[in-house]
Amino acid sequence: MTVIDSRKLLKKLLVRLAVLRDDPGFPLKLRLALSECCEICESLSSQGNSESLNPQGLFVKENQAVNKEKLSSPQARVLVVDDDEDTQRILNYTLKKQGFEVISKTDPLEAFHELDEINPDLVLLDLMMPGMTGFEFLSQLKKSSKKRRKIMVCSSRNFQKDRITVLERGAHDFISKPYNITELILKLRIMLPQYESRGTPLPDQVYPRVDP
Amino acid sequence: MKDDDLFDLEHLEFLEEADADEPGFLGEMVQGFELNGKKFTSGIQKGLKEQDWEGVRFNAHKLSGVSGALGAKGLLELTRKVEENLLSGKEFLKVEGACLEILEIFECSLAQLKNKVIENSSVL
Repeated sequence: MTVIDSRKLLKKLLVRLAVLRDDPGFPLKLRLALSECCEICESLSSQGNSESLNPQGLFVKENQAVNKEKLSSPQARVLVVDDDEDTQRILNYTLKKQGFEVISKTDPLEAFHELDEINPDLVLLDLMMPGMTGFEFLSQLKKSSKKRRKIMVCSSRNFQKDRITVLERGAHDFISKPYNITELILKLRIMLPQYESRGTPLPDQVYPRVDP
Repeated sequence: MKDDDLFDLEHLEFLEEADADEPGFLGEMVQGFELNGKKFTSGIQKGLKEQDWEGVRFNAHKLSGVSGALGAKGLLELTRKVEENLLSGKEFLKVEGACLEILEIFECSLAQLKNKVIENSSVL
């Protein structure tokens, strides 16, 4: 087995590996199935990048290969519209941890009027709010000349009829409260494929385990 | 009542981790739970007194959101039951009993959450 330059390897495998550990000075060991990386190794070795042999698998000596270029890429901006402050607080914490930029609004009317100004990549929208319900928010948005947004409705009002209504009114997805955090993050990543997470890794079933 | 009757322990664990990460996080969450929970339980009581079922339903719904954020599953289940019964327009008698239970479970959940905050703040 060939051990190759960590920077080159990470550039090929990229982002998901780069976000798993960012601990300067700590060695980062990546164990990968041969079938997955054989081609990459061969292509890099042939370019004269091999260093030494390690029977345990590929061993990257330093983690300075974190892709700086990717880290400076823009974050996905998520607008959270929910009148419950505790829900705001927990979403704020969770999403920021996952590398999203979060803007919180407890007043749905204010959020609606400032939508173009805030320019979110995605709106997480509660349904039952005073002043303007999530249903009204969606209908108004559909009628208005405002730019269309990706919208995920997040509500404890978990009735089939409501889920269908919000989809009909232009929402892209629905998640019921209390939401499972892994499910929420996965749904956001599916809806925002152009942004890779730079935050805390999700549990093992989501990302392959990487031994430190 | 035991923790696992009232709370989703995994969610509580997540909140405790967040508190370790951002000291004061859990305390602020519990403060919000107390403040809003009292507002919505009062709303439920008022609705019951005035037989304003829409008021009861609205406040039960809001309380379910507050409960969900704290992983208070006992309270969440009860508030959902009340909301569903009222939306289906039946079983008003059951709603009254469940509402009284909501008030009791809210106090119980709040007390346990406050204990958690104290436990957490004493951990160095």
